[in-house]
Amino acid sequence: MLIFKIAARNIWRRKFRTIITMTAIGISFSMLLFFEQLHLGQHEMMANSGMRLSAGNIVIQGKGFNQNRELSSRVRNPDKHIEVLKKNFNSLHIIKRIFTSGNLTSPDGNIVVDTINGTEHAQEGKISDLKPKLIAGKWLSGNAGEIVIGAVAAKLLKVEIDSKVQLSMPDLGGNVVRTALRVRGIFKTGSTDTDRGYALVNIDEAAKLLNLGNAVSQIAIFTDLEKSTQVTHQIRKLIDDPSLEIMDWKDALPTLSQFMLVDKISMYVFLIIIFIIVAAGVLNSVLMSVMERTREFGVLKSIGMKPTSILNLIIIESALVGLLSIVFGFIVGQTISYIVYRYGIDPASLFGGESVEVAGVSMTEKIRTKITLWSVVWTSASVLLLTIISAIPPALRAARIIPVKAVREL
Amino acid sequence: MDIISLEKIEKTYIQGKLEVKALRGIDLNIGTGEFTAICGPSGSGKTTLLNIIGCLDNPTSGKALVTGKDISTLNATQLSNLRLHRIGFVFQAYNLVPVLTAYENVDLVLSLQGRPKNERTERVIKVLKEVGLSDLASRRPAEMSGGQQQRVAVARALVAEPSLILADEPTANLDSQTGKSLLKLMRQLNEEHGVTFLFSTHDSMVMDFSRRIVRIVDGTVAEDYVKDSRGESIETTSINQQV
Repeated sequence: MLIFKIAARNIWRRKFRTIITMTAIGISFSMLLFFEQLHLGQHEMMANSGMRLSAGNIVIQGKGFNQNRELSSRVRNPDKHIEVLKKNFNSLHIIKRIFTSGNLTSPDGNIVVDTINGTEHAQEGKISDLKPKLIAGKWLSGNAGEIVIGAVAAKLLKVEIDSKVQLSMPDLGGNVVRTALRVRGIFKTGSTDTDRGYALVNIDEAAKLLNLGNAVSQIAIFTDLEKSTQVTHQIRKLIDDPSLEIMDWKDALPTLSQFMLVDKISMYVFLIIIFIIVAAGVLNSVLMSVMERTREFGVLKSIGMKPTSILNLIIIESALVGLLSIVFGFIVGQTISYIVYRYGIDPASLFGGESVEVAGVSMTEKIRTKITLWSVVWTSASVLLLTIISAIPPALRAARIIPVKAVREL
Repeated sequence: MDIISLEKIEKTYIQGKLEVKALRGIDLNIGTGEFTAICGPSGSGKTTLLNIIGCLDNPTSGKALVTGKDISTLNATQLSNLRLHRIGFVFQAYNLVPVLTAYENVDLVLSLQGRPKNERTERVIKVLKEVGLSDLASRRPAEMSGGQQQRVAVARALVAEPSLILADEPTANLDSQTGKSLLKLMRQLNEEHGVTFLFSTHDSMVMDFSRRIVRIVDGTVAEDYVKDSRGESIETTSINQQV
């Protein structure tokens, strides 16, 4: 216990130096914590946006659909599979969707719509990011002859709520089919791509028009993001159909998941640079402290203190500095993190008011940090470990001091 | 019984390309309970000799038995244990741990020995009382005078009830009055506890207080005598004229 007392008091012998060291470690730790939580939040937001718009945590699709996006790659008997899912899982949110592309024509304009989502209006409405962003009209009601489009599309077509538009698209056989629809709702996300090239219609109407019968392009399944991979494996075991591909969101949205991986790697590179700076700072500070106290260590060894006790003393001193720095860094980092969680960062404002699209996902929502216990634990533990490891070389130096030489030092 | 038994102790240092012979064949026996001063001019080898006796340094050749143990056969941990349990040190510059109070500095040795708290408390209080520092127990070294610090150092050396206390120039940094009072204290402790004191010094006052004087010149024992109560030499045990 006396060693703890000596260590605790020693760190305040050079107050100014200790405070500078602690500030450096603390600020580095707060940056580490904040950026980790910002990345977690940003990635989760991107994943959720991507999933809600065109996938799910897990998707069941016809084989090859992820590459060709064609109607021929379809799930032929979706209700049978949904029954299996409902029987085996309690809390899955399931949506059937038909994806295709086509043209929208009005008396005053004509545009290509990249994604026409023929969907179950009620189910889609529960999870959709577009429903809260309706600036005019209403969400799909399930009645025939309605369409929800984006604000850019509405502007280009010069249409309003209840205006008539004509949708034309190739059906399953490749024949162009047409239908007249009324604009029921107009959404505005801020992303030009989404507001121009994404439209929603009711699934029954789409299925009938495209000659799909009961078939759909996708069964989108929503569950906890963390459980996605595990549930995917379970579903694969339950639905063993070679004509289907069952994948989690990472496989369903490969561009997004690859972007997130690269983004994560670049963050780790940044973290390693921070770590090196912290390590160098700690090493320098502890080394100076050890060299100043050479004589003292000589005396301690003379009176019988063992080298391991001296090693422990230095390690405990560094660990205490590390712990105090972490407390300081936690307060700073978590405060910033909480502010960003509470108020968010508008990605558009960072890019001069333009909406931002990253890896095919419109960053229409504010980026918020995600504060998790694990992020606090692993960042704290790694900074503490780093502080301790950095102190080992000077601690070994102190432990190896030859008392007869050290005692003579001034 | 001899607590220290040195036989043909030699110590050679290499300084750059030079070989410096600090000790040139020292034969010396110190009995339990002695109060002995090793004196001699600067560079004569007295500190080197004290370091060897204190298990802080190894002789180049010769045999050194300290508390009955041949120190050349002991490893670093055993030497460390010997210092911790059997030898107390008093240094010229006090060398207290600056962040610890007087009480904690004294307690440190017992703590390193792993003794239980209640036993330590009792012992530390007793020793601090003996050295007359009961009132200053909570002061840190920087808040004490040189004499007071050296008393703490004596208490630290004494607290674990060692067989031997080695004091390297203990009065060098003290004024004569404080030095005298410290020596009186050490002498009293020697008489009361029977603990062996061995000084390295060229302070005449330390020599006056010592019962035996071993004079080292150029790394050899030039003179070794025991004094009577009046300070007169009554027995010369060894005179080595070797150069």
